[in-house]
Amino acid sequence: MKQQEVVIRCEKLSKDYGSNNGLFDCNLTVKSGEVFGLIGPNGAGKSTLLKLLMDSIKPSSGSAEIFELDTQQHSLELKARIGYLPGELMDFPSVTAGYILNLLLNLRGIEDRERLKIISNRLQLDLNRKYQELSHGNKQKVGLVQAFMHNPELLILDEPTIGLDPVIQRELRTMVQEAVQEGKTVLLSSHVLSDVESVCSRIGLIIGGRIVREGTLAELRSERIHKITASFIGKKPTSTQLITSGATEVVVTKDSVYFESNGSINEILQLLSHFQVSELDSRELSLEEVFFSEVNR
Amino acid sequence: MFAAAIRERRATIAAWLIGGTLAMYFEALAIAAELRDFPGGPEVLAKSIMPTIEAMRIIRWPADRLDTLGGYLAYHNITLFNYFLALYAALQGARLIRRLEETGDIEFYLSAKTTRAKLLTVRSIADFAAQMAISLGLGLATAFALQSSGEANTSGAIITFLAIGICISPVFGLGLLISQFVKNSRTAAGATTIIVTILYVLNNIAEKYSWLEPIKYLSPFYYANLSRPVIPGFSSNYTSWIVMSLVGVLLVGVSVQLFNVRDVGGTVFNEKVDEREVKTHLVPKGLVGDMLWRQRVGIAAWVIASSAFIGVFISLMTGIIDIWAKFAFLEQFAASGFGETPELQYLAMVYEILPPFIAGFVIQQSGRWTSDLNEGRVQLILSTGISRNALIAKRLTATLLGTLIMITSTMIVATIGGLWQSANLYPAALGRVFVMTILFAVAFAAINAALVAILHGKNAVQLLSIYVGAAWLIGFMAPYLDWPSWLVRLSIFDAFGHPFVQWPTLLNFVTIIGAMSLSLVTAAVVSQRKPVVK
Repeated sequence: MKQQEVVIRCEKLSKDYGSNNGLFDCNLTVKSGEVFGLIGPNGAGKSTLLKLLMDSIKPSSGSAEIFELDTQQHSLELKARIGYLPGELMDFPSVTAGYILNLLLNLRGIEDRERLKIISNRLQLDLNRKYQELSHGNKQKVGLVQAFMHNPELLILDEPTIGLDPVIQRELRTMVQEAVQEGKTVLLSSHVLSDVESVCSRIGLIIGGRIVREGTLAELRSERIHKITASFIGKKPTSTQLITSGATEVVVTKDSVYFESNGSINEILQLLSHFQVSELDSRELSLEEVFFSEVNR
Repeated sequence: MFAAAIRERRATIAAWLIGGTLAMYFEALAIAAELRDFPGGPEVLAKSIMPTIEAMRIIRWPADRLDTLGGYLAYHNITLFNYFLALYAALQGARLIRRLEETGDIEFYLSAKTTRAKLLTVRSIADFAAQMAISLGLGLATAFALQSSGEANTSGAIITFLAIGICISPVFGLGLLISQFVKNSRTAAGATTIIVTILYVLNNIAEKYSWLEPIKYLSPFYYANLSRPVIPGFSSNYTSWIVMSLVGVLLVGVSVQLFNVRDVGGTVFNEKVDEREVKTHLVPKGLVGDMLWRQRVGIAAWVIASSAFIGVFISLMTGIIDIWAKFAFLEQFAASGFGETPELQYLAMVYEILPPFIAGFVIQQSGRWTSDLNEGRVQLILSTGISRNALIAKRLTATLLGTLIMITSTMIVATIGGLWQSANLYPAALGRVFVMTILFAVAFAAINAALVAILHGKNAVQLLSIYVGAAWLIGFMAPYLDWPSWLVRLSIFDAFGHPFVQWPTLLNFVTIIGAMSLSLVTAAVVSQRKPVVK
């Protein structure tokens, strides 16, 4: 099997804004062909990490490399290979969306307009409209088109689905998947957990400026709680027995029990085997539940 | 909402009051010294300068009782304050609702159970209150200036400025009304500025031409000038206060009605979306082209303004030179380095109007650079692989090209005007002016670039405007008030010298090139360390 190349590597990358705001000791590796999703509450440090990678802001300490090149020393060289969607919408008075996108292609030294037209059509963006008159979602489309239009090897997308309608969101997910199929790498941040869940191969959860959890969706789920509901015919275990076996959040009703288990559930299953179980429902946490359980810790 | 609107304007009110007080105080001192020291006394001075003032009435008018400090100050300062306050009011009106629509803030107000009529009315009242606060402050500043110069007239000064504040309220309403018909605040502001300037100029020259005389009644400046008790022997016309207030209220009322029937973000006449193909061939190839293209209208306005201003001065040349010759001004000018012949002196002075225009244009550019950062364009442009230093270099190049267009067109107008007036052609002098104006533009643009980098999206424009205002004020005051020469040396305008007459001194060159080099290095070093986002 072909060894995946490391596309992004951060080592102890920090940006300290004071008062515990910023990003701290971030170690992150994203490999080629991955879609890495950053999730976290507002102000957690997601956009700070992306801006550091783009050399828009300077780190307080640590280092970051993209394609094995230092992001500060080789910033210009890297930008030619990256498509970046900033988290904040820009303002561009008096000109059309088409003017802005064509200008940005000119600045990149690209003559071919075909890809610009294709992506604009896919996202249903009207290039003739004045940018200032566009809705929030349409302005976001301009940002997305400029990120994709030069066919970059790496896409860094800060909250890409914000303001987009469901049809365009789906189209964007398809575009991301196509990019990955073509061997490109994607790093995105999002608040929309279902998007991250459906499109990302690996996920990093940032809270308070630190990556507190990182892995595939399956890994994140398995590290966390199982939610179990068991119904019984006749006798059922007591809450004390369940708690002794490692269960938490125990709720006992007339003929069923509900509990949660963090880690191995062998001991609990052993306990349940002493009773006549009519129904057993064990469910892994959704990403949203993983997210909330970490945020509320 | 009223308090919030006033809070938004507090910095502007403070700037008006500080700037106005300084200008009034120091100019009153200078004018008082001129009136006191003029050979033959104030009456002779008034008589001697009257023909020049008459010749230049397009710029300032009326001129009454120039033998008194109140009269001279009313002519020299208050007429201009009247114009600038009117421009301020007009711009406030043009932006009142349009800016809220552009930023999207209007949705917050309207969704908070505020009616459109209430929003517009309350913000208009806040603007009127700010306008009156500025007028009152300037009145007090003038009263203080008069008192300090030995001609106390507190009530006269205050009433004169209150009259200005009230009588210009129709131009606020005019700006607001125009903004209902156009889609953005810049267009509304531009259109209103042109109308206000035309009304000002018409009022200045109306009495000279009988066919223009009735038009002066359309100008709010005419009504403001009816109340000038700051001038000894002059009174107030309170009827005009009432009439102008009513006109202002009427224009605001019509605007409210129009705002009620149009779409938020739209105009009274909604336009359909244009279905044209995207004209990709019109998109500039590079950033310099983009900067120039997107401000083509602004550059054209600067070119027209500077050319028209210098054109007017050139057209007055023959008449003014004759008057200078009669009143022994020529020796004075010669001693100040303006050359030996009246023609040379006049042309030298005319070309020295160019640096303030260049400074204004460059400051406007630095305002754009600041907006580029604050509004996310810098981040986007740098993401295409342009370095920060390249961005600075491209900005300076675009600024220089804009200035070059302005300098060239203005010099062509001045040269043609001079030849029309039968003046000699001075090729070497024109060459020196061209070189020095370019050098001045590059140096001042570099200073701007350094300040924009250091302040990082904050008050660079305000700081530069204060510097230019102070430099101009010092240059004007120093000869009258015997201020030390080193103070004048701090002004980049002084370093410009009198290039129409001779090359500036080595020290002047060192000052300009030193300021330029230091600023460029500062801009390059500081910008590397600053974030490209706010």
